[in-house]
Amino acid sequence: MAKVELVTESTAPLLVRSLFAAGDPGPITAALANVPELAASSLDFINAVYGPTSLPARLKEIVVLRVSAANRCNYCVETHSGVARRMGFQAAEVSALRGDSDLPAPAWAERELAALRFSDAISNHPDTAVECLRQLFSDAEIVELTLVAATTILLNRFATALELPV
Amino acid sequence: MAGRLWFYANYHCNLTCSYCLTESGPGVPRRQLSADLMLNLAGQAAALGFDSLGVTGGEPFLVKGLPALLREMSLHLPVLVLSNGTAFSPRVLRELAVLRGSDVGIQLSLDSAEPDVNDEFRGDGNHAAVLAAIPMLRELGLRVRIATTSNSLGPKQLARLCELHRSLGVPDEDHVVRPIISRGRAAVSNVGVAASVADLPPELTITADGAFWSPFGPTIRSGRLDTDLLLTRTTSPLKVPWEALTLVAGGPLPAPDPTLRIT
Repeated sequence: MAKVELVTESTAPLLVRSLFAAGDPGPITAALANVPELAASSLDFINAVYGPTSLPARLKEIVVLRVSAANRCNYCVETHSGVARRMGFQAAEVSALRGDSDLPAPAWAERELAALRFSDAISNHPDTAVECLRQLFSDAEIVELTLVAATTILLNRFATALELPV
Repeated sequence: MAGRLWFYANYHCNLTCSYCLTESGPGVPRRQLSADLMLNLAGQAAALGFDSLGVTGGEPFLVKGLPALLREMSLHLPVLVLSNGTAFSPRVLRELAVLRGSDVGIQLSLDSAEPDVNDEFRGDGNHAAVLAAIPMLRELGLRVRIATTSNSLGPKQLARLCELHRSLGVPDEDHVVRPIISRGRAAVSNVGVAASVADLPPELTITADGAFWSPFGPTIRSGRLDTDLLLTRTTSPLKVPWEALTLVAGGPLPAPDPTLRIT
């Protein structure tokens, strides 16, 4: 049970009604819809960061799931475990990203291992995080991965504080 | 043309009318707008091109110091305040003197020429209180309008009601008849006509809970605020809900449609 009302199609304010037209948009949208003037721009931002960009989707999902695990966000870990599996991640990879098991370093590509270490670092010692990426990523890629991680931390706090249901 | 900007000054009321959109009554949460915000928004409304202001509730005259606030608001734009006509205590009547010469009108609710019919919906003694209030308000130089809310007013009943308001000095152009809208207490009682956003003319409405599409929007049902006609939680700057309203309206506002207006 969420700590705030989750808006439904019948209670959706005018500005966000279209978000409910195709059915239940999920608890993040349903919570954001309580403040309609912020909902659309917030979702546009999240979708821009998480959507297709120049970085491989797999690399971004490693960051999203690992950061969520490091920040102990149950909602994000569970939902993105499903996302990762649908993207083609192996069960052992998902388990490792969740922190449920270990996967030997050679199982990851070099850049993936760096992104994984970056995810742990930005969650615990953010001032050291970029050093994990420096040798393998351009400045633009570092900025984007940092944005993916920071957006994930935002959503981790949002979902955990509001106790959004999985 | 931005039309009229509405304010829900408060949600509490000394009456508990059976069709009330906001489930108002003596013990409900007040949801009161501050005088500072109302006055500030009145100024913003004038700058944005609104042509008038409306103040409703709840019973607005339960808000302390309302007459002086109305006077200040009317320095920005003409004001129409809606009232059940039963809260004009000697103190309020004294305070209303500040409105003499100002552009403030008062719209009182009166649903029938017959006291028993009116009071069935609005409470015992309501009819007599309204009839007593009208001459007192007119003596203060205030323009008095009458609003009738009914879905069952026949031609003969309407004729008797019009005869009554004319006899009290209220001309036909200051009498409006509107249907009961099936929201709030009316919806719980399963009375009134359904009204969606497509049926309701856009009239930006400010409440303590945010800005709404129409004064028929910020209704309360079974104690919960209806949000289906909510525009934004932000009320100031007024530009934020105003732009949201024009976005939802899909462009310039349509010409006024008198069929589903609160005035």
